[in-house]
Amino acid sequence: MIQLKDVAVIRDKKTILGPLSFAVKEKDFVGIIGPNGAGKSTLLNLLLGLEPITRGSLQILGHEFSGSNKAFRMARKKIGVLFQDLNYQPDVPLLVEEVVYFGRGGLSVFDSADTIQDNEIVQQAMEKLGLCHLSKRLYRDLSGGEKQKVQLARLLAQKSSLVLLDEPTAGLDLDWQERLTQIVEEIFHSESKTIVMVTHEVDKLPACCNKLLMLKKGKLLLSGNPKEICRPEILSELYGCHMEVVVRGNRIHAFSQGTRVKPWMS
Amino acid sequence: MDVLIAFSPVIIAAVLGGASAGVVGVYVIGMRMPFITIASAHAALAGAVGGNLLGVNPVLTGFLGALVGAIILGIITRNHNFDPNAALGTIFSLMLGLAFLGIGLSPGPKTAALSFMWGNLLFVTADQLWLMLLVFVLLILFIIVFNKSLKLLLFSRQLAVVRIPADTLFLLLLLVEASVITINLQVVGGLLLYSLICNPAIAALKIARSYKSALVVGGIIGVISAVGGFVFSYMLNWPVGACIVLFSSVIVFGVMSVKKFQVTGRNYA
Repeated sequence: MIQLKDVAVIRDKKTILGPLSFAVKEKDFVGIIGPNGAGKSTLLNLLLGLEPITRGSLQILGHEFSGSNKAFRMARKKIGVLFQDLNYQPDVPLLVEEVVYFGRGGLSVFDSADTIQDNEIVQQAMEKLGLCHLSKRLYRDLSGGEKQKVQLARLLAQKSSLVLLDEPTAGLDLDWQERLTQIVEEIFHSESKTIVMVTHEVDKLPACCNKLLMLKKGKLLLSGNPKEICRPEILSELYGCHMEVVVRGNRIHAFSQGTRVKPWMS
Repeated sequence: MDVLIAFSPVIIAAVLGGASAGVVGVYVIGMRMPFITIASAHAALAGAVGGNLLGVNPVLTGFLGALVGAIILGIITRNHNFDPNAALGTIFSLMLGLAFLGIGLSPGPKTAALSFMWGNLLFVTADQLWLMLLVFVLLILFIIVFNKSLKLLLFSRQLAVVRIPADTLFLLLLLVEASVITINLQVVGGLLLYSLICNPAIAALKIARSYKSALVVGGIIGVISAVGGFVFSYMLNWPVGACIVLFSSVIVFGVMSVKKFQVTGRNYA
């Protein structure tokens, strides 16, 4: 699905990301964690072709990355992506169902009428996420959690095999964080998708996450099975503060002990 | 009745100009890029003044100015990691400087050159009316043909870039906006054009309950602003461009107040 070989992003002679090498296989759930400035969003933008690669090679859905590569740009349209809520224009009066319909169009810039199949898929996506009663509400009037749920319905309607999630729980209260984590897990199991999810915290990753990449200062600190690599000393190294790790069921929870590995003022 | 017949070209120009400005403004304000309008309007102003100075049709040079401005803006805003507002400020001041230079260098009375700054709706010609109609029809066709893609672009440019050729569509939108700006130089002038494009859209996006209704309401408020402003200007013998802009500002304040009142009322209910 995704193959990176020695990929690096260099801006103004400064290495922002890399060199990175990893692969995402079909039906993997890959979590990418790391502190602020680790290069998580840069990596996600890179996977979408929004960030130019300075070195190395990237293959997505069988297509080699290149800014001018038409085949790659066509392949990119088939990737489902959920950005953080900040990237959506809050002033535009769009109905919830219109936002879900964005999952269906998009392969051509010219307009085409929605088919019966499109309508059915959109209806199914909204039913699955319990959004039917909100379909005629304005997207901008929804709460943050509801908006992310609508975005997930859009991803379902897109029927893409590869889904990229950028901090889907950012800015939400604890209840919504948990609800969305559960929904993502359910989508992964029921729709057999390959999911790559970027998050600050390991707690937000669902139990189905089978591969974890830890990024720090643009470099890959460690990768592997979350249960094997989420150890207190590794997370302490990653975040720079002493961490405690608790495993409950299949989920991993990490807590800061309130003390830094290096002095606070350094 | 005689007054109506006498002023019918002016009213038609106000309707076409106001409607096209109000509709295109929904995209500009919806994408939170009002500064683009200011930069484009001043590029058109510089072009029109330059045309007047060189003895070339100022509508054509105004359009060329807006076109060049739109292409530069399209290239600048293509970099999604870069806040274009700083560059827009530079383009705006450059174009304003060029416009003032052109006015300063114009020989004899400056009336014609200054009319591009303040507008002169009363002297609209038949040719200009046809051009306004053509631009309005093109704008509507553009919206119909690219309806879904424009909606997606309006919702999230970042998402649109992944799903459609968003940068090309955005450039097309800027070209359409450049056309609307050029035809409206005659209505309110380059300096006040920003208000006629942005004010109706701000009000429309506040009150509309759907994407389609935002476009329709934006167009209607644009028409009300342009025609209402003209009527007030006629009654009070004030400059037309200023009256149109003031009238559209009053509409925005009115809408904001009603919305604020509704929200406060709902909170106390």
